[in-house]
Amino acid sequence: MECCSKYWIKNDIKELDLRLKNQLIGQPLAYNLVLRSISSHVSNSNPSKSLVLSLHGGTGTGKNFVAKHIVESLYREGYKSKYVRLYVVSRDFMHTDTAHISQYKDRLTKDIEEITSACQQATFVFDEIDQMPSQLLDVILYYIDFHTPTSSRPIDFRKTIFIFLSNTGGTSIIKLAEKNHLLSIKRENYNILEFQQVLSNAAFNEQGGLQSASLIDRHLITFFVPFLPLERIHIRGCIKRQLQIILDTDEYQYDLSEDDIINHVLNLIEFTSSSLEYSVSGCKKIQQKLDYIFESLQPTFKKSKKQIEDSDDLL
Amino acid sequence: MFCVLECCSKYWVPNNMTELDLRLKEQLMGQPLAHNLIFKSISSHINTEHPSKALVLSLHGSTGTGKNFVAKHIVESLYRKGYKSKYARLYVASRDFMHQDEEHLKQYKDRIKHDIERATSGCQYATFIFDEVDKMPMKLLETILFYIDFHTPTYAQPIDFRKTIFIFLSNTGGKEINTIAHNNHFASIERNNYNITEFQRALANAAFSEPGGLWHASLINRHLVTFFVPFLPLERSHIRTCIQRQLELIHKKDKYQYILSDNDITDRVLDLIEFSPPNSLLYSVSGCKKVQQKLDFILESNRVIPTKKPIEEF
Repeated sequence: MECCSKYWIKNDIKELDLRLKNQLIGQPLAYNLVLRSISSHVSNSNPSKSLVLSLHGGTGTGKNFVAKHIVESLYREGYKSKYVRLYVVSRDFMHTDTAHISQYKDRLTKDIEEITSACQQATFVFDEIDQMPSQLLDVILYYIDFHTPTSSRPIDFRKTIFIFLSNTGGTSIIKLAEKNHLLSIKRENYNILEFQQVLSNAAFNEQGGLQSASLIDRHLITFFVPFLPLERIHIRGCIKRQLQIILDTDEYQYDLSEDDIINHVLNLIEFTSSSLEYSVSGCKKIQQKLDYIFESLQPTFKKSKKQIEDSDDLL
Repeated sequence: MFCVLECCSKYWVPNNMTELDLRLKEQLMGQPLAHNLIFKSISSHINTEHPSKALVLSLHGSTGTGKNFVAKHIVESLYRKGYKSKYARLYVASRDFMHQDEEHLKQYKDRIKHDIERATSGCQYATFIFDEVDKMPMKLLETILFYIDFHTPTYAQPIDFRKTIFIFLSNTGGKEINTIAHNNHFASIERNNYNITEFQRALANAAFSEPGGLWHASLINRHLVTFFVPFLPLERSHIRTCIQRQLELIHKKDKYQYILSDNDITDRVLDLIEFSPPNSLLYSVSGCKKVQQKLDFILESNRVIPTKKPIEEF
């Protein structure tokens, strides 16, 4: 049964590295920031405050994906671990009337304190945090800005990890990415500080809970992690990877080459119409589009492997 | 008096002013005004046999300038057990006074009364720290005011509250403090020579205009705050010292070598710190708050694991 030991809290940074390297496409900045900040936080026996990563970027660029990989590398049970909580604001903090907000405050406080007292390295993921009412954000504030355990509050919150996901600043990221691209700068060489600045401003100015939040005012975010928009070449990579998985497990062979299949799917993906083509929804609908292509291919080109082997035998 | 568990003796409540001075001298960066005010006011309060009222310090300043840091050092110099002492209480408004409805407010009032009376009857030199006091509802503040404005023990209320220390922490007036500091800097005035009255006046004005300022206003009106202590924003040189200090500590603790020199590491960390205002980039927006994390981040990718020496053959 899960407990707060090195076995259950495996903190496997090598695994995180591998997962991100193999699966996160087109996000060199995020890869770097996430790996190093998580690594330095969990290997520090006396962190001065909790790690707060705020992941920003358009839809389908990999934010939830990365959060999942982080959780699965740190905790053996992943999201099923007792020491990890995922809150999706539009579902968990749905109502905005005073009675409900009061309930939510109590619930959050209870969750965070119970979990952290059971295991200091607890992780809390908040999806759609830009939609969270600022009174609720203030509750989290206490734990993030935590200073010292006292006799009345002996729990130490400084080892916790908070991960925020939102689309805030997505447009600013795209603008900055375009600018860099047009200057012929490669993705890996984008200046992370530029993005941090832009995101910090956007978080403060854009509509949403973060705007009025002391979270930004008090500079409690450790790192703003930008998720760049994906280009054709990245989407191609996503499709290829997904295709590989299907072909590996599928029993059928197809007369259409891999490249052709990929191109068919690419045609179904919507790209922005500016000079630089970015996928409008990242890698989000690849699975569906791929399935669709296969469905429409099936009647004409399907031949079972067994049939092919049999026909070979007959020769 | 001798006791094994904490009690109100010289051992458990050492009120060590030399230690406080040392801690502030070595660790508090860039706050000459605060250092001076705090050390002198606490010393004189502790050394007076019959203080006429509780010592009330109101610490103001933007984030990361050292307010909670100083409060911690004060508590650790006065009480052997620091914040774990029965006689030191820390309240953080956003957590301890979270709800604003009548019922909860009543609970909070009762709790504050109970805590203050209990701690002070246990030891007259009790300390109460209220963090984010600008977020506290007025009604609760009035409860505290009673103890601050305390005159004489009576038959009904025999506990004497005049030796207590109250410390309020808030960001109220932070912007004004930063503006004055900025102006002083460009008038070539050195930090040690900043005029404290300028700041106190600005803080009084901010009190009436900023949200959460009302509490401040009633404290001023009743002349209950002994000192308003301004925390100045931190400049590049201060952040540099913070980084170097942290680096020293790390070098002492771990045995790793690093690819970059200390200077290079310091520069890289400084690059990760945000400065403002845009025209002068004079002050760090978050003080020294994120130094440790940013330092760890930079060190993470610069570590060289020492190789083992091959076993010598005879």
